[in-house]
Amino acid sequence: MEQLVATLTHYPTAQNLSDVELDQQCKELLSGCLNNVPVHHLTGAVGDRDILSLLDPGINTLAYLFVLCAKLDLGGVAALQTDWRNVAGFLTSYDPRQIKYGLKEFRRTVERFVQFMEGNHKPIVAVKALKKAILRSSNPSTFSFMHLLFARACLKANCFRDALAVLDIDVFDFPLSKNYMEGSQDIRGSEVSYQDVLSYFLYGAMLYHGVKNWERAFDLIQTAVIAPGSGLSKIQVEAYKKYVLTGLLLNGKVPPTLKSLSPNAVRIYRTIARAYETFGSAFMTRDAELFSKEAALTADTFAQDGNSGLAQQCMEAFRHQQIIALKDTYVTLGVDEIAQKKFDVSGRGGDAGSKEETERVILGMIERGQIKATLSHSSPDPAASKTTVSFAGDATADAVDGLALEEQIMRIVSLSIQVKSMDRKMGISNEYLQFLTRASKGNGGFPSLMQMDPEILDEYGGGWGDDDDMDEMQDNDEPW
Amino acid sequence: MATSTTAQAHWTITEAGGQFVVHGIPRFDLEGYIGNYSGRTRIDRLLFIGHHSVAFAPEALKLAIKALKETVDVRRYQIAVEQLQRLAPDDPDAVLDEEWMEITTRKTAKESEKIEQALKSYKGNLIKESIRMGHEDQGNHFYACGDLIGAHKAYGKMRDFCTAPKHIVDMSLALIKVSIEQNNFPAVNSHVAKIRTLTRTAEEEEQMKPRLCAAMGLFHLANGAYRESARSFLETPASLGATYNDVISSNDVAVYGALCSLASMSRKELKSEVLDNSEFRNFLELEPHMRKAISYFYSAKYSECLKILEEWKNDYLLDIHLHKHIDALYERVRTKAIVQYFIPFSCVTLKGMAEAFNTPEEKLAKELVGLIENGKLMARVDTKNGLLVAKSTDPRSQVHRDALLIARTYEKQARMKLVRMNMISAGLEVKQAKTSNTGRGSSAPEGPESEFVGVSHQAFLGMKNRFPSGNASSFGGWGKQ
Repeated sequence: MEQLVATLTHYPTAQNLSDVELDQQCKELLSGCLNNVPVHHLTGAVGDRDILSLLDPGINTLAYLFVLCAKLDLGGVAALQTDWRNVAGFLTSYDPRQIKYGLKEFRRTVERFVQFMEGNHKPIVAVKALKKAILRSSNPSTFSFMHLLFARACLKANCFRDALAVLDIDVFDFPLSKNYMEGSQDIRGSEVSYQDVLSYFLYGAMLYHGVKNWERAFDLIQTAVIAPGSGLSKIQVEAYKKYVLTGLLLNGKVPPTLKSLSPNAVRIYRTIARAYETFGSAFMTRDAELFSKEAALTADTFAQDGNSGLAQQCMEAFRHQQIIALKDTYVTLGVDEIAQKKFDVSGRGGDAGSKEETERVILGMIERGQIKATLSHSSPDPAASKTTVSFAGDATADAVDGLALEEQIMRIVSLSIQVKSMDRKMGISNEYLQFLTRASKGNGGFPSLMQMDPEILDEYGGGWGDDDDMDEMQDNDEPW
Repeated sequence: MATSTTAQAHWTITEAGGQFVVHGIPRFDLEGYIGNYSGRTRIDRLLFIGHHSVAFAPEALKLAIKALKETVDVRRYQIAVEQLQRLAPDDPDAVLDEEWMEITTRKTAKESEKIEQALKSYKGNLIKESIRMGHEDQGNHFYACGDLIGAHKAYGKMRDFCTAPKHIVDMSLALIKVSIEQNNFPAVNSHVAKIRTLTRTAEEEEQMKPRLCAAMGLFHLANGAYRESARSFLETPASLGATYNDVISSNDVAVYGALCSLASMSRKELKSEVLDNSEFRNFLELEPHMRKAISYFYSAKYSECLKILEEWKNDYLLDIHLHKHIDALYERVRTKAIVQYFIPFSCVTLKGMAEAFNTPEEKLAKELVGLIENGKLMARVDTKNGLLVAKSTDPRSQVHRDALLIARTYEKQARMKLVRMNMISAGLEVKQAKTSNTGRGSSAPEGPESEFVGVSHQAFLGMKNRFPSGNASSFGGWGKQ
């Protein structure tokens, strides 16, 4: 037993090993010890001390992981009762370089841990641990099974702000899907399914809804809506419903049909989410009466779909957007005149459409920076006072500072680097080469469509981002 | 007294039925006005006035009945008498002359038969010219009887038997006339085009141009294309005179042209193309108030201009072609006047503006808000101080904003594409469930990259869509291990 512990603590020999050395040592540890030792040995104790307490999760990550996993494998839920702190601690301090040698164990451990925490109504613990774990991982912009667990735990725990640290990192890369893994011997534990990815985008959008960041929510949800494939997942349909409502919240209109979608997909979306689209077109008429009538009609559908909250937000947004639109028409306007316009469609009745309520709403909007305006009272006596809204001039108010432009340029430069590498990857992919072969063989099957040899792919890659490609890109996608 | 109550009751019913009725007294003199026209349109116009003008209806109807008695158009005679009966049942003219009707009907039937017979024999003889003339006779006869559809058909049949360009021109002119009366304006356009391709000599053109321009003007007017309509009427040579009286009078050309120009042209264009147009001046002289209205608009005296238009509104509402467009035209003139008025100001009091346009301040404010919301007026209303303030624009920051927006859009699109491609290359495509009955081909192109990934479709057989609805149960049941 002591010998085992000695072996485990021996690896890795130093903290700052190079990748090659680390690789060698981890493999040694796996073949020499972890894969051969019976599971119950790992869960034993040295004297009265747990093996875990002898290992440092930050240094002996691999060994720690195997011991932890073995404990959970044998002990089940009971083991988690005592060991969840260890898992949480491990997640916040593991060494991401060693994890890839025990991905399968890592995934099993994490999934059990999260399930346990959710089952015990403490998803917040999972949220905190997973957040650190994802940020620690070697590349947080690569999608992992943890992303989905994290997003779901955040939703369960209502931890919207905690979620942002992870969600704000755009997900770009994806591990190979489950489908590729099936049948192959090397199931490495990192694989995900398209349902996982779609769910993550949907949950992510819902989390952004929680903090009212409609723009990010819209982007994420759009990714789910236009996910590639020949079929449509139910997750996508759910996403589409929220997508329509989010579009209303963000731009005040139903998002245009995306060109990336197949006509079939568009038809299905349309049919299933018809209530949402009628709601949206009523929103766009800017006719409060019509809109509230439509809202009442669709309320049941929304309640069934669990989108009542979003619909409520839309009604708030309706009023806000109407008030914002006033700034294009008026320099000053009395609050009572705004109240008379009956922008309130929330149907709560009471004083929702009154002068005081309207003033409160406008005040809120000014405080949040939604409009640039000032309120002034005509007399100190509140009963006799007539409140006037003065909207600030449009042009001077929103002067763009050069900094935002600079930042944007930097972002696009970095993006174009990613695009170039993506392009190179595509250029040497099997599918593309096969396509080229077919094209040259058919000689007319695909006339002159990117006729090029793999040898000149580099030049092609270098040309990415030139005018032609940009045009093509824009042609192929809907501007939004 | 009894008469006027019946008439009033009738007008109320007409208005309730959604038709417009002109209560005011038009400025024109009925005899003088109708004297400008000849043929069918004269009666049509009389009937129109008889159906819509409170003041002139009985007189117009009596004139119409008198004129109709000289034709063979029994149907319209009946309509005219019936309308007069509703308005003035005691009038001696308000009785159907059954005898005349019967005689005329019999006469026309006989005539029809005769023409039909003649046409048949011509057809037997296979002489093209005779057949053409036979059809023409038939067309003329139907036209006289008031059967416009039959007339149109008969004239149309002439086409195959025309041997000279002149025949086609004659035929087209006849068709244009019938089409205008049927309100079938698309046909007018095609026939005008046909004549234009056939006129070769300058002389011919000279001869045809007035009528063609007037017809095209009517065509554009009917389509609501006021600018094109104005141009057509402005191009109409003064030689039109009374030559097209059975369709349109020179006075009409002046009014239509002037109104359409007012509604669609800038002040500069009004000066150069209308007031300084020597041809059109001849027309304008017939309607001096129109000329005055345009000069007022040009010299920025908008309220005077609008006042003249308002004074003559009743006349135009009783015009057979113009009545549908009067509201739209007047609104455009007014909108343009307001916009033009505001151009030199950066800030103007609503009070001053209300005076300039002779409108109550409140109504004007409402109108201005409407214009601003439609994007026609670049200004904002200051309700507290009663001001209309011009919008200040800052092109530089506008460009910055636009650039930023384009960049953001591009960035998002590119990211979205990258994610998509990465998902495809990782094999994360949504696969259609086998049991699903949404039914579609497997190779619909998704985007530019669909060629690249055709292969990976193979890997997905047997996957079904499932939806993890936020609970853990969908996660492979690993808890049972």
